[in-house]
Amino acid sequence: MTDWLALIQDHAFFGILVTIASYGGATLLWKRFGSPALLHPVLVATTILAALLMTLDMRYEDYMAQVSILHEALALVIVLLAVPLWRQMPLIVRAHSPIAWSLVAGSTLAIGSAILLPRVLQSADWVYATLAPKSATAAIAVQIAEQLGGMPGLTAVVVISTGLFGAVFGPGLLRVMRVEDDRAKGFALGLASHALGTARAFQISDVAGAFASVGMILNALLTVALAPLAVALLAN
Amino acid sequence: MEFTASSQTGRTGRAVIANSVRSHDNRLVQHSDYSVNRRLRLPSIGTQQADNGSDLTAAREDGSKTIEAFILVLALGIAGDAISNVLNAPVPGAAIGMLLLVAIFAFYERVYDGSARLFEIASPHFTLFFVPAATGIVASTDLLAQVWLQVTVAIVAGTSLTIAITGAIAQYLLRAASREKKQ
Repeated sequence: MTDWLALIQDHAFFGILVTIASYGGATLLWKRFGSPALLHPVLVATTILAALLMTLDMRYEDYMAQVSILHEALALVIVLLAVPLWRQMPLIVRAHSPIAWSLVAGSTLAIGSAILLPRVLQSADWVYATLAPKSATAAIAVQIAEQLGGMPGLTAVVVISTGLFGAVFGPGLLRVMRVEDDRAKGFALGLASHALGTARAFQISDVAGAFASVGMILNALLTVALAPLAVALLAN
Repeated sequence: MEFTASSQTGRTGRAVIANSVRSHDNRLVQHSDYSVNRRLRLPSIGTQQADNGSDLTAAREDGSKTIEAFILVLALGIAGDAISNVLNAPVPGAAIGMLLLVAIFAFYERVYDGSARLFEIASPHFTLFFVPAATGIVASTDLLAQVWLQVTVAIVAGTSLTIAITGAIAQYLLRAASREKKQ
């Protein structure tokens, strides 16, 4: 008798099929419940896929081999971020000096805290490399972690958790800090919590959203430069 | 009628994916509503001919521009990696590719239509491409068990600090700059 399950599971399309299907299902669920951060599609889809891989007794490497084209496409997504960056250019030019200084401070803080706080608790080098880029947008963070000798799989989950945390608790924190300026709120949310923070900022106002996009993209670029430096300086 | 509005949708630069659907009278009808409105309906008989010709042309132009933009993005992805390789620095090639694309926009002083359209099509689904990496958690559960405390502290305390202090600094600097301009 043919082992249909193995036949399906080993098919080149299988991984892509289950990935897109769980992502699609998770997105529907998310929208049905009014887009709460805690039900973010990536979180739900990842949970579904993790359960599926365990049930089917499928190794992650085998799954990854099937979906590597989706994973590689992350790079294309980053290249396309040139479009929103270009669109925000007038805004960046107009407020270049406050944006530049806030960016340097925020980016240093994001990377420094991701290395120094765990360092107090003692960690191995790969932990710092995994955590350092956590505030950068997913695609870039994963690539940085990969290049610094971290664990990209763990970085991916950490980045998403960072985004969720910032989107859920960020606005409250900003209120406590008496940050009332929408531009500053958006910038902080985008810088610290990338796309999820940016989505949250757009719920505050369009101005907050625009500054959040700027914070997210510029921080991603600066993290590319700062993360290797910070890991070299702070991790030892 | 859904598809008479499609060329306008195209011109305003929103996500357009052209679809050919055979209508009830078995004519090939072009319409291009997909990810935006989700109102994918079959046309009723005989009412939709008015705007089809121009729609078809518009959709074809959209299509070829999007393909051009896709080729450009793929080429920049490769170019970025090549440059990253030559520089021998830990800079993701994709970040270089992105800067190259910004440089191209800057040279022409505008965003290429096709790139904008490709971005509109792909951006609602950007997080999908992140799922394979995140699923890597199943392969790193042992690691996570070792370092869950460090990870939690970095996420909770690190992110809180970053948001609070960055927000305060940005507010101070932005307001100071606005005051300066007024004076």
